[in-house]
Amino acid sequence: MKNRKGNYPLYDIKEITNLRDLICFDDAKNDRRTAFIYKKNRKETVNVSYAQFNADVDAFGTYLFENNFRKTKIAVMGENSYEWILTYFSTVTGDNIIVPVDKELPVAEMTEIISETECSMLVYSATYSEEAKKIAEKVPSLTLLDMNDIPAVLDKGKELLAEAKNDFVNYNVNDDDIAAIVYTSGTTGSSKGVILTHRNIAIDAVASCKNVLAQGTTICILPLHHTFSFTLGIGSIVMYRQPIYITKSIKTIMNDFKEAKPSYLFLVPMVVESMYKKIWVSAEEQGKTKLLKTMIKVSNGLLKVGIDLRRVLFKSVLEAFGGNLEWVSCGGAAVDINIIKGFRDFGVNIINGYGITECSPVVSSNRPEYWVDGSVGVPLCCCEVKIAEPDNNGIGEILVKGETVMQGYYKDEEATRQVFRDGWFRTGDMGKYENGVLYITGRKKNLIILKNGKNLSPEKIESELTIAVPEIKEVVVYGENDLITAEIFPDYETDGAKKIIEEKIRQYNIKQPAYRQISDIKFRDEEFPKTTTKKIRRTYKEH
Amino acid sequence: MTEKLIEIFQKETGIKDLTIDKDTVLRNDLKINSYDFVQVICAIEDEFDIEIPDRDLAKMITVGDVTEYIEAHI
Repeated sequence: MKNRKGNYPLYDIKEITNLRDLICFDDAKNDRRTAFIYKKNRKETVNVSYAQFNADVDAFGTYLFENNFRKTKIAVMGENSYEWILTYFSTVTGDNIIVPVDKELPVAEMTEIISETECSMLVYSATYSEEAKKIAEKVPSLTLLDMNDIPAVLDKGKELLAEAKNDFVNYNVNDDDIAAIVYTSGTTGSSKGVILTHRNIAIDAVASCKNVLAQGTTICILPLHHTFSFTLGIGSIVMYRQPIYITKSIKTIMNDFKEAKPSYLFLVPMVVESMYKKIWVSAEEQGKTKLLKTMIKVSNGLLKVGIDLRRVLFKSVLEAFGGNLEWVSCGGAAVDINIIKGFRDFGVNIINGYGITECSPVVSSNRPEYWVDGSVGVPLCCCEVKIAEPDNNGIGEILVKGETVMQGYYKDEEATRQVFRDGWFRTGDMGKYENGVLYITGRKKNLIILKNGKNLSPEKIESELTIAVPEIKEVVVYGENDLITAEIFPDYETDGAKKIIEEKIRQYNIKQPAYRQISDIKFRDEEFPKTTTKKIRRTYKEH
Repeated sequence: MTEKLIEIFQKETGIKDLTIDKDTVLRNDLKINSYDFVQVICAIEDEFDIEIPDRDLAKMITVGDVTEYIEAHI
């Protein structure tokens, strides 16, 4: 695809304002096109049509309604699956609120989220049945539903529908009702529940569709509890009524590429960068590095005179991703510009954008036929963006206003008050807005942004480490080369403090998801520099 | 076992002249991200004909953890 000289008209798509309409509009209940594809086991592949999906939502939703799950909150936890998506839509379209839980969190944190939001039910995948039981021990009022039991639930729902129990089917979703409470690092400090309404999520999905035309199959890879994965990877694709191939584990991704032959993907920089590296590792193995570099030079030369042979010249490279891949929407963190250009050489457009859970999440994005390298593109049509108190270079905090901005943080009025100013949401990200295009230049808030899209609060990890390892006198945690480093001033009065700390951090790591593990420990011989109020001066080292 | 692992790590990460021992910290010493790590795990699964559930990946911090896991499951 060619880069146009300026932005081009938005694509036409139905205007919808809630998640019921998102799955139902234009007679989707009779739409036989494939909605979801997934592997039931190694041999069996399941295809679910849009009609079947709607029928399943009606059955699951009716079951919930008739069992008095109304005006409640339902948590969902597990690897990506059809049942996960079904749980989400059956919950939110039936007067309930969904609370997606990150399956990689330690049980204590999952329990905290489920308790804080007072969930009545936890729908979990069998892989996490141990965690689910531990949570239920702490939250006795919680009803557990194993995703393996969903087929039985659907049968019961269908029976109820046959008995003319139509309250769920006839229920009218209010656009401004809360649909989801999504836990995130927040713009500061500890984890917070972001309150998103039907309107917030639906409008973001619609606006994203207007930016990018999605035709063909996609693969749902990113964990669905992320708004980026759900709003774009599911919401906007359901809007376009295209097929979504669901993969349960990133382990199978290379095979899934070959099977699903995706036309477009939603990924985080870590995966994009690894895919790119893989191309060159394969070329090296086959002794074709030099040839590939020459072909790129030739191809780029031809492009300058208007001849685009990339899909032909690099057919064998693209085959590794199924052969049809045209673009990748990349969110969660910044992508290395060299990787973007590198993929472009092969004919795949990496579309870099900017989003934040509090904005449902997409705020701005480059487009398949209009991009400015180094930028995060044009703000979505549903958002207003401005820069607060810009400096001489036009850089200041990015503020957002619009129908995609959250209602606030769950049970945290103070944190909510802090992030809103005169109706504008303060993102905590620094940037500039030039010629209609947004650039991210840094962060006001103190967060570690990993290339897998995870945002981590260093203060939270520091506090956990201090509790878990009493031999630590002071610690500062920061991200370095996409890994977490803990710089530690040990309690030198303890014999063998360094060894003890290393072992205890190892134990700490085992209990953490991989992305939150401390990869490097640096010991200091002296205390950290302090502010006048005796707080550690975090900025002594910029990362 | 270690030689086989070195071979797998070299192939999957593209790092040449790789030296590892049981204390090598995967993510830090080898500078591989979790996606690369998953690719290494896939190759290990194929090589040793075992299945490593995603939830066990977080427990593998050093090369020693990987070898122990393989030994316990083959």
